[in-house]
Amino acid sequence: MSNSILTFLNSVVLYSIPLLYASLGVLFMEVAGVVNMGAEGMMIIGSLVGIMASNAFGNVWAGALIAMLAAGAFGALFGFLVIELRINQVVLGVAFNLAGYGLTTTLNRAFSVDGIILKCTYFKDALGFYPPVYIGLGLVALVWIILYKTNFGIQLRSVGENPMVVECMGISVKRLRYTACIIGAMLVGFGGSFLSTGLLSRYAEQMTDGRGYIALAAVTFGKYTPIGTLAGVLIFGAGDTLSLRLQAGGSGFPYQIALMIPYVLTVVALCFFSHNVHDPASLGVPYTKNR
Amino acid sequence: MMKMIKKVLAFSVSACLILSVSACGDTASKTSTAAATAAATAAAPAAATTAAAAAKTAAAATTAAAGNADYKSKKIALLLAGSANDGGWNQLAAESAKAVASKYGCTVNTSEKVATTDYESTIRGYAEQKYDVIVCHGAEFLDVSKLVAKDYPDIKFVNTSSFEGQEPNLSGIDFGSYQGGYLDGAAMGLATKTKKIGIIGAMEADSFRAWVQGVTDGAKAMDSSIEATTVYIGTFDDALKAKQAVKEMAQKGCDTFTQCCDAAEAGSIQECDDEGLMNIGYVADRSNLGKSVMISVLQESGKGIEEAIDEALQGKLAAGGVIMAAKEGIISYTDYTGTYKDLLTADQKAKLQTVYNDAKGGKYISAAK
Repeated sequence: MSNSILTFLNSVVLYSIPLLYASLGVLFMEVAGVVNMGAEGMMIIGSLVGIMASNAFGNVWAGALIAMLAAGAFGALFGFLVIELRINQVVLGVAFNLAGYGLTTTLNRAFSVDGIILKCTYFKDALGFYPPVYIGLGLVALVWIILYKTNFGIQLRSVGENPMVVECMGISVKRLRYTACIIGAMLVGFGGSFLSTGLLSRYAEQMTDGRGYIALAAVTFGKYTPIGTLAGVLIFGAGDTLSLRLQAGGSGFPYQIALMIPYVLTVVALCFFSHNVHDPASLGVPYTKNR
Repeated sequence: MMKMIKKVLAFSVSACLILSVSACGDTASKTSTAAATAAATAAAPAAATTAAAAAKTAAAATTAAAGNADYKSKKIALLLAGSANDGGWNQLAAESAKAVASKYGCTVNTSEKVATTDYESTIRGYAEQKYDVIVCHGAEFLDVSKLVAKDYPDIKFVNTSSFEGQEPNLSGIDFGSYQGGYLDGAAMGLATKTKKIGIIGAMEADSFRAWVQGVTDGAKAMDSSIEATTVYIGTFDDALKAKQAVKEMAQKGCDTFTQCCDAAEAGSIQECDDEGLMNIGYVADRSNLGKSVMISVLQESGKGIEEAIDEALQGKLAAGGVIMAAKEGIISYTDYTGTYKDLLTADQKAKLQTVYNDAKGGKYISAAK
């Protein structure tokens, strides 16, 4: 019994890590007042670039870095469009998802990326965990420290609440939001890269399968805090693992209900734990200086 | 000046969006927003044409060396729920569509990654444009095919992985789902050491149910003590979920696996590779995905689709259900491959060959036979 619980927890943690990185990336942007509905597109770009670069350099860490840079570039573009041009962030996010799917599909078919079987891999320890698993869990603490214990974090959260006050203090709102967009996108990109080069060793079109959208739910569930976000990710991961475990147990559990579990669990958790959620006051609101 | 820059940039972004929608076909329809759905619906057949299909159609139209003059003007549509590049189920169909375009010099348009919410609008879009034959590749389309076919009696509809059609113009074709599963299961039954096998499916449609039943029956025919466990992952794309499914079943003692979930199969086969488990491929030769694949059952749906389109164009395709299987050359085994290619003894291989020969003779078509 205890072994069963341990293997369950092991699976929950391991397979939730790509979603954790994506969620932390989305969190970074949302506390700064930028809604990132385009995390799915950024994540699939990370998956594609990650495996291509890993294969080219023969090193998954190098591949992850390139994936982060590629996703960061998309984050910068996203930032430019929402900060400078003040495009509707929700619509732009959807557009980024479409562009991400389209671009990765086109590149995959041009370069047969799904034919790459990665030979290099991350080191795996006795628990079956890779270094990015520990880095991801450590990142939760690091993000908490940054957001609540550093000047940068306080400025970031202030920009999400009232950018005008931040501007009055002589701090550039644009710089902060650009920084949030780039860092956030890089984290999302790393999540995508870990999916294709860590947990799997291949790329498949649309392999992220909606994790970018789940990241948004996890951040909202977590009340825009790193630890809450981790909890949201683990709850969804637990539901996912449970749905497969119930079917694998051979109990004849209806598969349709089993597949609903992670989503129902998330909705129930949101109902019980997410009342009085305080969104950043300027979330999704474009900022115009001197207005 | 800034206003002009904004207008230019906004136009450029819109153009990029439209181009990316065109490039990825019905990937646009995967996101369930009103704007994306409306755009996909309004331009369904046009926007859904993949660049490859368009190029092939143009090439076929201009060369048409083997083109039949009667069919050059014909228009054929193919709808896929998954990616035309999945290396299996959908790719076989997409390639058959290209083959038909080359053969007849006719227009063939392929819509891939058609989202469930867009099935009806996409099929109707082709019907409104008076396509001659509309092929919906997969059991998931059947209900909508039946609905739309009633309104367009002059158009031939073909729905694959379906045991039933509908008068007067909808033909359902099953590509030996049960029989393919039986051959799959027979190989698993001979390979397994723990007498526990794992089956991973994408969804529980009729054809999947038939396949799962076939796998179970085929395995038990080899050894009645074998236990079969089935997990449906609910997706054709999420390879990680397929990997997790194998891990969960392996923890319950399963040592031999098979899967039918298109692009997601890479995950299940990888887990088998990583954990030293055995795998039997289905639909296509899956030995390219991992060395744990001992043998694969081919389901050459592409051949079947070409035949069906041929008959539809000639007006010979009957409404109703038809099964094409080993006898028709649709179901077969590949060679033994990978790490476990010599796992089976000579006797076991002979036994498997007998099963295949029986299948070619018409056995194992359905659970009742």
